[in-house]
Amino acid sequence: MRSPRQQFGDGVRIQLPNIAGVTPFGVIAGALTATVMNSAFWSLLITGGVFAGRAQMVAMQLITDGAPLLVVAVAVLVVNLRHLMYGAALAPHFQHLGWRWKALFGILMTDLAYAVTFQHMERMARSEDAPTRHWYFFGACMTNWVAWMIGGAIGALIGGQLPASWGLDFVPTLAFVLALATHAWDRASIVAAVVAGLLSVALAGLPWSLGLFIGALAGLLAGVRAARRAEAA
Amino acid sequence: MNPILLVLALLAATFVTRFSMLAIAGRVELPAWSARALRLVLPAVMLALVAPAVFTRAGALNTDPLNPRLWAALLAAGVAWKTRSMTWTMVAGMGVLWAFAALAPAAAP
Repeated sequence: MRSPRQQFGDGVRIQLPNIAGVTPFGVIAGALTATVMNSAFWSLLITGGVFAGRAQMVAMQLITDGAPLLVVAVAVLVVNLRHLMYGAALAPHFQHLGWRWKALFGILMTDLAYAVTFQHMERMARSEDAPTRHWYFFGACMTNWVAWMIGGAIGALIGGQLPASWGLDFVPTLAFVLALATHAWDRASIVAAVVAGLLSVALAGLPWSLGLFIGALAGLLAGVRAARRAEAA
Repeated sequence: MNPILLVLALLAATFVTRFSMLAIAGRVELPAWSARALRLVLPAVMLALVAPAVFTRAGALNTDPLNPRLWAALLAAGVAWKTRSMTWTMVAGMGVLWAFAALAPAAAP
């Protein structure tokens, strides 16, 4: 069995290449937040404490538009709804843990942490490494958080932005591409992915990343339906 | 806007979505179909993240066959499938993106 220390190291290593996308995104989010809040201190606190890049960008946009606090909170909740799905998918892996671990992952869970670790978590669940696999997830999460905070601090203090022409916003997308390329595809998965992809593109103009959530949910439901039909046949 | 209230609201709205499913697991009996549904989370959510990043620009559909992000994603997918390596996937994807930017600045990412 791999020790907690080894698992943590594995988690750090698998997430390391993503720093190239996470840190620049942190700079952008930190700089925007420092500008909107007119304070480096509050920018650092929001960037480090909330640790949700998309939600933070949406919140800052709404505050700039003069939206009231309740609207900002609801928008952030909607943007984060996809985490319900990650939470449900990961929950079996953390069921043996106490509430402290679960609360920690309630703070640290991100798209990238899920995308990068999920397949290996599933493999480990059936191996002798199962009891320590939460350390693997923790390592991947912490790498993300440290990279994000370094970017957030630079952004908050300097307030500058990286040139959009570098296309660094595409780095996380490539991590999602890897998760897709190594997925064990079956009919139901293909149906889920096609429906989710088509709808999310069609609804890309909707505010608050609603298109992403509606597309993913519709894809999930279509996939479940396809799986049921295949079983009935 | 009161920054303390704002931070608390952002924290609450984020924590609730991330923590709730982890918290209820094992206490609430999940229906039989949910295990099957959970295996479909990855393809559904990941494609819902990737497709708009590749096929839209500022919220509008991008059908340009020379879309650099399309070719970057396709080559990255091939490399990812072959190597299963995060590093090589990123080298391939960003390499294509930057090659487009260098050769055809009008199509820059």
